[in-house]
Amino acid sequence: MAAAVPLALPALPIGVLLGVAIRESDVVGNWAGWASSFLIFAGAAQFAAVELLDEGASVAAVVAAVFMINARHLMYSAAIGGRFQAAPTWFKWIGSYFLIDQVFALTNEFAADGSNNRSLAYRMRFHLAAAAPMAGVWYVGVGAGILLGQFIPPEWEIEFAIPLMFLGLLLLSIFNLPGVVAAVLGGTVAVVGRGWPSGTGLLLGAVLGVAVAGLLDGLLGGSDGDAAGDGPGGDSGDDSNERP
Amino acid sequence: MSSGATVWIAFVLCGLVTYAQRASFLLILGDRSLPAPIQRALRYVAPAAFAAIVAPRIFDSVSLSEFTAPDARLLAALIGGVLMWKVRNMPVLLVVGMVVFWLLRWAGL
Repeated sequence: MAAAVPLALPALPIGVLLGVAIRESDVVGNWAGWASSFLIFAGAAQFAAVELLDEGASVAAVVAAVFMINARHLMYSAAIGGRFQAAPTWFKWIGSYFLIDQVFALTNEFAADGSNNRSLAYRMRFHLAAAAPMAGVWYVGVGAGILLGQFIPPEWEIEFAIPLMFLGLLLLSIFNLPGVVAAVLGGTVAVVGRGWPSGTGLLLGAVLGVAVAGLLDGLLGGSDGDAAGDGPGGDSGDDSNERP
Repeated sequence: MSSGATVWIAFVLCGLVTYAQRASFLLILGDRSLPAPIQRALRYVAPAAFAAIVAPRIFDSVSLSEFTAPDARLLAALIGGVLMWKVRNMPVLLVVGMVVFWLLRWAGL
């Protein structure tokens, strides 16, 4: 759990910021917004969902966007699935909920240390102990932001911190040429498609970027980037100072 | 349907989708692995999706058909982005980006 604290603390201001964004949203209510921290429990996806709902996007568009943003969890699940094969079912259900970026980063680092030989019970305790501070910080931070939001004057335009945060996540997620191509395609299509209905520009851009970059990666013979992938808030291999 | 109910439905569905992604291999697929082309493509979900979220918000003021002067958002994002690339530290990006943004706004941009 001690190892998780330095990763959990930077999540606090991000959680507060999400709370403020929820407070300022005309569409997303305070309770629903706070509940999204428990229901979704993924920072970048929650920001995107709140923004899209605020812009009047359809439920289908919001869910599709969250699917894209959170698709990296498929890789996390694949990476640790084998390690917890023998774990009891209750752990698989609960452990899945807590499989966020930071927990994956810690569990993965821990396994790379050769600690994989430790007992299953130890590995299960490690997974849950890594998750606990993150979850606590996140639920409290978002709640605090919702409460504090009313004291922040709208003319500060504090919501500009949200695209800044996504810009940071974007830069942390690029580690090779196909990554640059994915970002340029995704961004260009989204800008051209600004006026399209209900988040289609975002989705089309993301899908096109992923498909072309994946093909390019195959042509280049596969890069040796972090096979675990990178993510929002999460784990980009060389940096441990990111958030959920 | 009221917009309040729509928001709740969207969050519940988003939660189920996210949980299903996290549980996919832990609960169901076990130690099988994803096909190589899918694994390769998945590594680029983050840059593509984040760029698609960021770009329209930063290039908000930029017209595609005529020249437009950069505004405070674009300049603050550029300065913050270059710094981020150097220091790779999110709190630094957020603080510097917001301060630059407020200074530019104050300067009338």
